[in-house]
Amino acid sequence: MGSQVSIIRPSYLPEIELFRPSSIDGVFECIKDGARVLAGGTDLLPWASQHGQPRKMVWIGNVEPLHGFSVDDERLQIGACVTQGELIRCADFRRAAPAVADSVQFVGSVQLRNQATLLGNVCSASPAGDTLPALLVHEAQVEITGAPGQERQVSLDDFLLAPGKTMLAPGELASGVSFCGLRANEMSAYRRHTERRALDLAVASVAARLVFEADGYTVAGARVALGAVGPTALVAIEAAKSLVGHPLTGETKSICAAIAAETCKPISDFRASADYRRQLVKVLVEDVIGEIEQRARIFKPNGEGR
Amino acid sequence: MNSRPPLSTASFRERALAGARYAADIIPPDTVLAEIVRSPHTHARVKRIDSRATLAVPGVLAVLTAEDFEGIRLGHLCADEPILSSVARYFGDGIAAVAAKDRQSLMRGIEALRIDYELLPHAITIDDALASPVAIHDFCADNIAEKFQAVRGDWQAINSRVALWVENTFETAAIPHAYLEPRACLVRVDGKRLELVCGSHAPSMMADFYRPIVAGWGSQLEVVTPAIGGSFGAKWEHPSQLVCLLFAQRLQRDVAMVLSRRDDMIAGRTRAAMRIRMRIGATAEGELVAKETTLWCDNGAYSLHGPAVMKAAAIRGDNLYRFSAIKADAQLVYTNNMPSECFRGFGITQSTFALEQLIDELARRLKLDPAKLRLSNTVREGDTAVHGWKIGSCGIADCLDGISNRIDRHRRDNALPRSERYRTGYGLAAFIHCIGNRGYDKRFDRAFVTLRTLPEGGIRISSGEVELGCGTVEVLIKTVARELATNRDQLEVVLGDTATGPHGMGSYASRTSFFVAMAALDACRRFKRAAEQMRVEFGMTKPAEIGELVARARQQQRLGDLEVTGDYQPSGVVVPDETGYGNISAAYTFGAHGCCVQVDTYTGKVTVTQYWAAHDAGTIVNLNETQGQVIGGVIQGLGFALTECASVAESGQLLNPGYLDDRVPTFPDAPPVEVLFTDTYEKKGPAGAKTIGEPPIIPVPACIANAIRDAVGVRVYQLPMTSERLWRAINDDDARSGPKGN
Repeated sequence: MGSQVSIIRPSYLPEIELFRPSSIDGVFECIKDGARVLAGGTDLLPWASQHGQPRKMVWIGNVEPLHGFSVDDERLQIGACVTQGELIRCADFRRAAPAVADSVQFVGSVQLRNQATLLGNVCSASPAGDTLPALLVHEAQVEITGAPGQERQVSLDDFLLAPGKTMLAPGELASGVSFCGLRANEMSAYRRHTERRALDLAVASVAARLVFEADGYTVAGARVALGAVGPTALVAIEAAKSLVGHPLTGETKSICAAIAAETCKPISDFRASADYRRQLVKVLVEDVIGEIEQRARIFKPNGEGR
Repeated sequence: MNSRPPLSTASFRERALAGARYAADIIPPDTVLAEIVRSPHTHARVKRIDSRATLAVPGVLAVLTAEDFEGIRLGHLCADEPILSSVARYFGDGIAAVAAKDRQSLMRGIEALRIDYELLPHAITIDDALASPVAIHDFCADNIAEKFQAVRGDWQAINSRVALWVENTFETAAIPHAYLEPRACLVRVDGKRLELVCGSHAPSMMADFYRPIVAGWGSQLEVVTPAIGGSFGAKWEHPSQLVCLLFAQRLQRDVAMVLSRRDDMIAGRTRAAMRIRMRIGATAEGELVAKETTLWCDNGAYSLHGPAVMKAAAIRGDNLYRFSAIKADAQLVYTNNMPSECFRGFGITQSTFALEQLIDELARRLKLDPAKLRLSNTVREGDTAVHGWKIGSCGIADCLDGISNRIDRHRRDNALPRSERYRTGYGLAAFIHCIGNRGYDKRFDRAFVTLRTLPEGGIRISSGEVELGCGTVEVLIKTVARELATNRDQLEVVLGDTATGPHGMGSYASRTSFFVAMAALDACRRFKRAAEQMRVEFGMTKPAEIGELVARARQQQRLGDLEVTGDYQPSGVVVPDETGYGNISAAYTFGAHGCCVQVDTYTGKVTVTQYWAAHDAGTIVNLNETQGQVIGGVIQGLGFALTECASVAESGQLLNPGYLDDRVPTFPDAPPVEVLFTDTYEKKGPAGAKTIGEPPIIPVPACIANAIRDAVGVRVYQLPMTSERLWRAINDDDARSGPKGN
């Protein structure tokens, strides 16, 4: 037997040719030239240290328009350079998208969140990426710019293809992400299981967003999404559907959890086995719905619904 | 002559204010950089190394391979680790080394290196290695590096006394030492003199080991110790140091190597993983009678301190209880895993996981209170323990009482409605530990402290022992300031500098504070004697201030007369016999821990909600630092108990070389820890003190395991006790029946 793999490359950053344009046009020139987009760098730079590539990067932090974010009644629009730290400090964001706010708070550590961007977490497309299930239940759309002026919106569900793979084509830039804010009678939440309380990857995670009828009990609409139990974050359509038209009870929650656990596609690896991940999904779905119920109550005047 | 002034050792205060300088901080910008090129194969013979392209890279200065270190092996107990190897014996074994004038040339040079291997079958489990026809080392056909046996007492007689045996098999995991400072070293060249600057817990011992090797190259060696960012047993001899030494010697230039975090974790040293089958027998009244241990220790690819760690794990913890009969049978097995190394607790941390769970189970079976069962069986002052340890001051009873009271009170004050999902439980575990180990080095176990009056004023305290975070600097300053009635600001401490200070054995076996304080007391006595003599000679009538005397001595060029070296060697200690019998330490430390856990039975997730640690460390010299040491040990133990593990793929590849997947606890994971100290006074110790050192980690995994058992009725016999493992145990009816027994 012989082998071609000769060495373990020492984990140090390679020489990097770094471009720092201040306009979108400049960014596109670099992308066309083969440069990888560098925003917060919390995923890309450790990757580059370990793998010795990419060696050409374009930092988009100098492009002013990519730093914008807006929260209006209907939708939140987050530019590519907006850090998770910035978002979490914004009260309007926390109110408008509680599940996304929950999920951002789990990412890495304070220092990492102050460096890492929300869109970076999306583009890394990790099956365990914390913000992905939360963004899915908030109906996120990724804004893809093919060239200056050529923009299209792709739903996050379509955008995520496989671990580390998105539908972003060579020469394209993910320039922002937008998602729905909560409307009246809606609430969302995100929960995950980790072995450690901080600085950890989700072994399984669940986000949900529920719309209640005017009575405050009956579920009028539901979205459930799962993380770390499939090649990408998954929308659990059947599980969500099972809730609609019923009031939340122990039974409806457990039916929803059972469907989610059944329909997810976990793998076994050194972090956890597939059947344990299914069990976690079952527990987390009920927990998340319970959390939503509680939050919905708190937001109601006079504690109605108690 | 030493051309540089010695580096004074940073105190806690300086460390906290970011004033400490570590090896990587000291590397000048134009230093040659080196890296070791590591094998991506778990077991493979190197067929050919083609370094032509590497040497052609501008800036690359040299390449080293196994041939350059022919005949040189690391290992105090079994010299089996090559510096660079012609056979890769684990994923990450060093095959070649490259030196270059800067980082980029170095990386280009490494990427240009071509190595051809012949792949060999590998064994990464103890069972595979024992069954494997492939020898990991040519000299060891059965892959058993060492065997150990001990039998004490009358095994015929005990059979009639034992009413109940409890037995089980336990497994502990290999985990990295997880120090904050990755390995780094700098070699400075001064003609034939090489100076190795690196954070190590045993610089003099390293110098002893390396000097004959370096002498073979025609050079001399000194070792300098800057601030150390943690070692926990890992930081002594390592191939990276000899690689830098040889590059420096050949190139006649300063050479440095700083490992990245990932490479530091791959470059490997871990806690030795063990499988421990143990049974203990007791009378119906709960008198402990006998203990039998069969132990397999995963040595990894190379031995390092493996043989000693295995022996310690096999018998040392037994000394806590008055067993009448002991049997131990242990094997140290070579595998294609990272080499294991000593790690806080030296094997006892592993075996305590087994012993203290069995004691707990015994109490359960006999319906006795676990603290009371222990209390009635532990050794007492004046005892000679089962393996020959002569017990002096002993505060174990107070520790057990303290923990027992804390648990009772907490249980009373926190009575919660029983929840279907969340269960609460309490656990307790105890330990005994030594202060130094006469058996570690057959030559001696001693420490020296030198006091030198400096021409510019003040006194330099130097020792070959180091500041590992145990408060050595503070112990020395406090002791000398008090004894010589001098101001702290007149004292400077230089530790671990072989060129300017005396020899030191290093920080292991929880010995440092005890040994340096004793040696410092002796040094102060000698200093006072010399000063008194000088005072009489100078005709100074009344007892002079040190400062006044020094001024006179300086005038008369007599400062040298005020240089003294104090010495401490414990009395009554012996090198134990081949079965491990003998009093190895001047005094022994004790402790008991307790905790409250909450278990989420739906997920198996354990949360330690409260922790109590009671220690007999003799008189406490520095309360804050000692408490810090205890809390640190508990949190480190929490990781060992619940989350940490070197995950190795079937291919032998390390899957988690980083802190994302090697889950060392974070601040939010740390439970509140209440630290209790007994007011024990140790006659043989400095002002009644013993030490703290390793003990705080020792009982943690068993303590948590016992609390889990109390909460949910099952045990996870394998470390780490992850959520998934506990969830499986909770849902496995067989596990509920508890340990096997008759």
